[in-house]
Amino acid sequence: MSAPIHDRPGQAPQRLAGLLAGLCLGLLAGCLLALLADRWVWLGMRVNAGLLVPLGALLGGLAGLKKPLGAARPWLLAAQAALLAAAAWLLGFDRQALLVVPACLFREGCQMPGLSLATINALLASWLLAGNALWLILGRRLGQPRGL
Amino acid sequence: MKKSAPPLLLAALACLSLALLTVPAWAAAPDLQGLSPEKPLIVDSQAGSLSYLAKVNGKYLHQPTRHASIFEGGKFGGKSVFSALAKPDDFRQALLSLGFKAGDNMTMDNKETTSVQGDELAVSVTWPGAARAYTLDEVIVDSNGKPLLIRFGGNQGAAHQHNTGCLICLDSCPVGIASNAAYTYGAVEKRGEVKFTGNAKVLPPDGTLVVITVSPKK
Repeated sequence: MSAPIHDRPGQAPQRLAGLLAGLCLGLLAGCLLALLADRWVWLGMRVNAGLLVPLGALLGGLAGLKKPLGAARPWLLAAQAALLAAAAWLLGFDRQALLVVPACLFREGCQMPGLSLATINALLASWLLAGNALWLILGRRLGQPRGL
Repeated sequence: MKKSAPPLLLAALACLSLALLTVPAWAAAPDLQGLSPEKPLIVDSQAGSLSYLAKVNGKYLHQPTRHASIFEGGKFGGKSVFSALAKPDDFRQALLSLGFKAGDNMTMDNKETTSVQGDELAVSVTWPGAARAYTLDEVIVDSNGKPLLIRFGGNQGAAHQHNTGCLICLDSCPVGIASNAAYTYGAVEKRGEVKFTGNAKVLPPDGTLVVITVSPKK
């Protein structure tokens, strides 16, 4: 049975919300995978582990577009918090390392060696803050969708 | 519409900060001893030394690496503590012009059992605002506390063939122009005998331009 016609206008914001949620979750997941890969020195010296960061964000965004993630589902926020905590643990809860290593991996992954870490950290912070804020606002307006 | 205004404002502020922060690191660099991105290597024949320009890679102040310095345009460009602006060929030529003798004893077959030979080099690092020039031992931490023993390996053919960009490797290397005779190849990546990281307590932040000077070991 096809969806009622009056539901269709809600699809675009729902997809947008899904895209935003997927981009945030994918970015963090890619970052954690890149950190893990880079800890193996042999691999880290041979491949660009940083590629996993934009790749994770891309895959997360695509997955978000396909699945209706629109509502403010607490587990998505919890998953992001868990990924952040795991990254902090891998870096020994060292504040300096947290400000430097993920940004360096992102810079390597995006092949932009000229970008300063301050710029990248500002970009990543606004990506996560604005992405999550927009997703939560859209999700609340749309209500709790089915799926996922 | 009003509810979505704060995040949009946040995004706009982020874009503005991006624009303000994207300034080249060397835009205001005061004293680089006559070196610049356009002239990244100079030879001082009287002092018998050469100096080249490099950038600190902040990642390796917190993560281990097996490279002290690699040319930023090489295949392994971003994998060293100091991303060199000078090319391996120019570095090797400069060492030869100063009369240093290359070991040229490392091959792909003997690399794990042979220590690099060649003249021993004293490597120091300084930067605008540094209290003094620091030895390579002071800016790169060996987890075993063993002193670095940097020798002029040569390796012209392998350096051309592999195009890694390596100037100074931290274990004996058949590709790098100079490398550390204190360990044989594989000590870092394969056998895990040692971990090398940049010394975050001494080195300036990521992106800072530094001057690396190579002279005869006394």
